[in-house]
Amino acid sequence: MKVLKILLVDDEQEFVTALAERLELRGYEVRAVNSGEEALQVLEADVPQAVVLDLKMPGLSGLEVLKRIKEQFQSLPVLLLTGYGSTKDGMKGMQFGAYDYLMKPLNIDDLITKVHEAVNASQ
Amino acid sequence: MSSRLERIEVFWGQLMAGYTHEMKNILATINESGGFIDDIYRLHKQNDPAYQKKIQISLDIIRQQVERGELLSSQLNALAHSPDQEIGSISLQDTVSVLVGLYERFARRKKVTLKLDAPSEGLSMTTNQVLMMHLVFVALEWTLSGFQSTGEILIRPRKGHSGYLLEIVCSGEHLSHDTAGEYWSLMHDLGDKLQTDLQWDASGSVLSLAFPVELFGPASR
Repeated sequence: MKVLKILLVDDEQEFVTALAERLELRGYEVRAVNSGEEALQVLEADVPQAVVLDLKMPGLSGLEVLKRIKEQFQSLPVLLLTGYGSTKDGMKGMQFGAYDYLMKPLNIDDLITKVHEAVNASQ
Repeated sequence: MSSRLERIEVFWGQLMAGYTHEMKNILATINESGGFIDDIYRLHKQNDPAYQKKIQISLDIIRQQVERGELLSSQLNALAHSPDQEIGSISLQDTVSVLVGLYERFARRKKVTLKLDAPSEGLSMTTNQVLMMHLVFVALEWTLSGFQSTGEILIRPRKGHSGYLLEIVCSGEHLSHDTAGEYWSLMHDLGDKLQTDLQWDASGSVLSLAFPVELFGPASR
């Protein structure tokens, strides 16, 4: 599998830091941020190959961030994270252009597989 | 099904949804922190001093998340036991503390900080705990709805002149509270049931709930 640059966006700082470390151990280049506003700032300067985005965050919600990403970077693949038992929000996100959604807690191998699928599909 | 019952169910549902969402985040963090330690051992990096430090940090995070989950579960358990007695003796500051803990996530999503300033002495009262929790929850919902941007909500349970006072003090920019909407009306309905006076001081952005020490007569749903 080729190494990718991934932007992780989640307000749970400890979660996103640990996930970033695990992906880096597997050779991925990862940028982790804790808000939608921060993610949009990062994207202005440096566009990754995939975004992993939490749906429920303070300030700009995941869905709002997704809409803005899709307005500016239509082909940039976005995977959504949801902590909810319901898949309703994840499905809604896919209607707004997300590639897929994953439930927390994550299986890291599933995440990596989905990221690669999403990147391949966007090319 | 009456609209009041529906509203009580909405109240329970919102708190349950908030709790389960927080628990998912806690489990996700424990999962990744534990997974990171597992990765370090599988890659035989555990004797590298840089990774030894990271193992310690991950263990600390796991411990903190377990404490966070334990506190939330205790708060939810207290809420779940609130219907045990229709009218019973409760501690105002303990009841408010449970709700503030469970409501914290709702405020955080609007970038509003919740602070509880409770006295050390007990504020024991006899009331309908379910209705009382519902009223405080609706009061917090109403208060939060007035925030347009970041701010702080300070919750102060106190002794009042003839009973107990719960002050909810808002501070932040562009506050705009609606004293005609559904939440306002629901708050007053619940206040009537609990013989509780409600006052909104718009100039100081303070909502005051004056509870009796003892509820007289029936208070039903």
